[in-house]
Amino acid sequence: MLVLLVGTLAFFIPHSFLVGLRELFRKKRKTEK
Amino acid sequence: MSKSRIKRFSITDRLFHIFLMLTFLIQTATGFSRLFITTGWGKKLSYVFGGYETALTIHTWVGVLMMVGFVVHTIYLLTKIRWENLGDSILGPDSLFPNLYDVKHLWQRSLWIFGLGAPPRLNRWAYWEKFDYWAVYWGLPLLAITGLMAMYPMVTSRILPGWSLNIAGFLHRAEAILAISYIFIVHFFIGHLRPTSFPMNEGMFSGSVELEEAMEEKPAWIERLKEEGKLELLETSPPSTWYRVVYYVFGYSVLIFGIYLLINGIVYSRHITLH
Repeated sequence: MLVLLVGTLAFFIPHSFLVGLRELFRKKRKTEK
Repeated sequence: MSKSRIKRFSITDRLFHIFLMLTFLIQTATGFSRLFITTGWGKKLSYVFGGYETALTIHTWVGVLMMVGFVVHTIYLLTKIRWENLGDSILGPDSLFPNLYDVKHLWQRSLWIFGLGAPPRLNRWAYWEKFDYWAVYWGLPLLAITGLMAMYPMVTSRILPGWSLNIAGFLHRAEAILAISYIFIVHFFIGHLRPTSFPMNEGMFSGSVELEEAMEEKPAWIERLKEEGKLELLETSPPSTWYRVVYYVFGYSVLIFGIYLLINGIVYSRHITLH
């Protein structure tokens, strides 16, 4: 259970944050165009 | 000119989500008021619910309500299955059942993050949405079974060895902490804070999404609807201003309260005991 807890958070927190960061740059590029 | 919108969630889907939002928040607050009772913050939180014992009573009955919700949702799911076309109903693109495309999409999205490929051509449900759904679906029975064991320790110890109660307590707390952390960090970020959703992904409240937005995030879904001639049938009008105000106030109140609980949970995390 602890492995599941740590594993889920260790994967999804950085994954979601990086997706957000990527979307931010894509949005910025679209606005510049 | 207003942008065209398409229906994404039925009224039943949205009611289940609101039910889950409210019950989950109450369970987190009452659960935390007991978990952190040795701290000043935990004591103050328990006063809101009438004290340590009353918080448990609320936690227990809202837990029972959640179990009822789970059963009702399962019955609802069974009514949605197209039994004459079972394979497509369970494994088709409208199903929330995980499939190999989810693994492929996860891999493609990971590459896209680092600029190493195109974004995945998602269908109706993205892999993270399926993960959210199934996390609740297996988490709720686990919390329910371990919660019932704690509610009836004498009955449990007549059937199972005494140490099973320790295991149940550990599983209940660990799963609750996992669910709370995931919902208040990952789900809130995806639903509210990531640039595509900010300030709020309104789909789950209004029931509809902008077509342009859907074409960008779920291109395979829109293409399929066009091919099947169903796109026009799903077109809908935008939500009224008053309704938007209501769900923004409601959604943000839940968000703020959830983050308040999460921050205090992290601050006082050294007081957490898992058994």
